[in-house]
Amino acid sequence: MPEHSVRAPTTVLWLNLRDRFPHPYTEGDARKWIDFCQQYKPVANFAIAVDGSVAGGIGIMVQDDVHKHTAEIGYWLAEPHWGKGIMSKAVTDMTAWYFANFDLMRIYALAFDYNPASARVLQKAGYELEGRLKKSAIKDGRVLDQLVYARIT
Amino acid sequence: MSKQTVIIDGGSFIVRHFEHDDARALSQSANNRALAQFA
Repeated sequence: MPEHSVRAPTTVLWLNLRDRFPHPYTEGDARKWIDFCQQYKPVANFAIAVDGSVAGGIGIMVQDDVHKHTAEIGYWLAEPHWGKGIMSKAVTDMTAWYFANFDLMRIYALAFDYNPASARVLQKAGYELEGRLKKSAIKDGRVLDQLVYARIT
Repeated sequence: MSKQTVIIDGGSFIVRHFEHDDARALSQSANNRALAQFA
């Protein structure tokens, strides 16, 4: 079966995401991700489905060593579904779910400082701005600050 | 696991486990402009 891939009309998606998020995102990339999600225990990454079809994703990465009770949360949503409150509710509800189902004291997120939409999602979900990590990321050749948002138990 | 394994029901959306037959929809959605960080 040939790979089915639709190149993003702009690079805005990839510019808001970490480099490991493929662009373009082929069906092969999707199958690898789904395999990973199904094999990783406990399951921490989930699909956001709208009208029965995957429209985004949400997940956490539990940290290790002295950070073992901390997790980073991440999420994305396809543009046609923006502005409907989906991501804010998903982050709110899933944060509660992660605290209830994982041994966590802290969940945090890092948002590129040029992505206020992501910061608003976190604020609506009850995350507090803890600070700015200056020059902590390089994306598409640009040195960026990242905003640290967190919720604690 | 099945698609009926709903983690949360947000009304206009659900959060659920990924299934193998999600690959095409996942690819198409991911190639839209999207919000946020981390994958």
